[in-house]
Amino acid sequence: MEKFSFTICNNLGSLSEISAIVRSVLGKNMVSAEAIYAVMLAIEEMATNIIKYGYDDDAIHEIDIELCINSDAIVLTMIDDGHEFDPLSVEVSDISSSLDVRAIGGMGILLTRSMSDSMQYCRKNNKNFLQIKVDPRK
Amino acid sequence: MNITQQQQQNGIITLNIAGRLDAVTALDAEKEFEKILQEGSEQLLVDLGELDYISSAGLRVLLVVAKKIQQNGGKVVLAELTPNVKEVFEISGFSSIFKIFDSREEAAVFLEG
Repeated sequence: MEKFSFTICNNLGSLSEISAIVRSVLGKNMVSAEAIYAVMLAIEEMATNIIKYGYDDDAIHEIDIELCINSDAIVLTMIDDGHEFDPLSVEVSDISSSLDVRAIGGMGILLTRSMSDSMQYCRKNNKNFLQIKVDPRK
Repeated sequence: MNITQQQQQNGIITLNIAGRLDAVTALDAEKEFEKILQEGSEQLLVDLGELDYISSAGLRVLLVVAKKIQQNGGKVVLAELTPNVKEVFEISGFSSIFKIFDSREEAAVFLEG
């Protein structure tokens, strides 16, 4: 098992740096291209929600990202001190609606749920803990 | 992310989007598209063959472009999606709101038709 920890700040610019690091780390660990995509997408979508909606102040906040790479599962853990938010509680968008009325909200959560194998959320010590599992062989 | 306008024939503008269309690059992409839409293009063929990655922020940009073109009575089609990008389109339901073709040639035939 290999374990990597990263910390990003709550600005969108920090996402491009983290995605490059994650791609390189997973690429060295025999993870399939599809699984790398799923992990990068999960990090981006979940971090974007935290950055956009997690905070009322203008202060700098840290989001901790941890990756445990096992042969049968990549376990992604994200921890933030933003507002309490459980992405599993969100009703995903209606994908059958037409182009005119379609709302984009909830799309990131829908994509993350569909491309990962499991998601778990809990609130502890005023922080959000989100754990997402992806099969590295998929 | 890099958008290049590749050719213009029979009133069709072909755009190639390469790299990543995500939360970081979405704003730049939107500005690029604005410029292209201001030229009054009605038939847009978007080649995604070199697009490595798209997230919901990227889908949102494409949706905004498609709505604007439709409002002007034009058409937008997508072509050459890579497997992971295609999966994102399928999960999100975008594969049913966009016309998607395997090749640029097929997409061009549709626009000309």
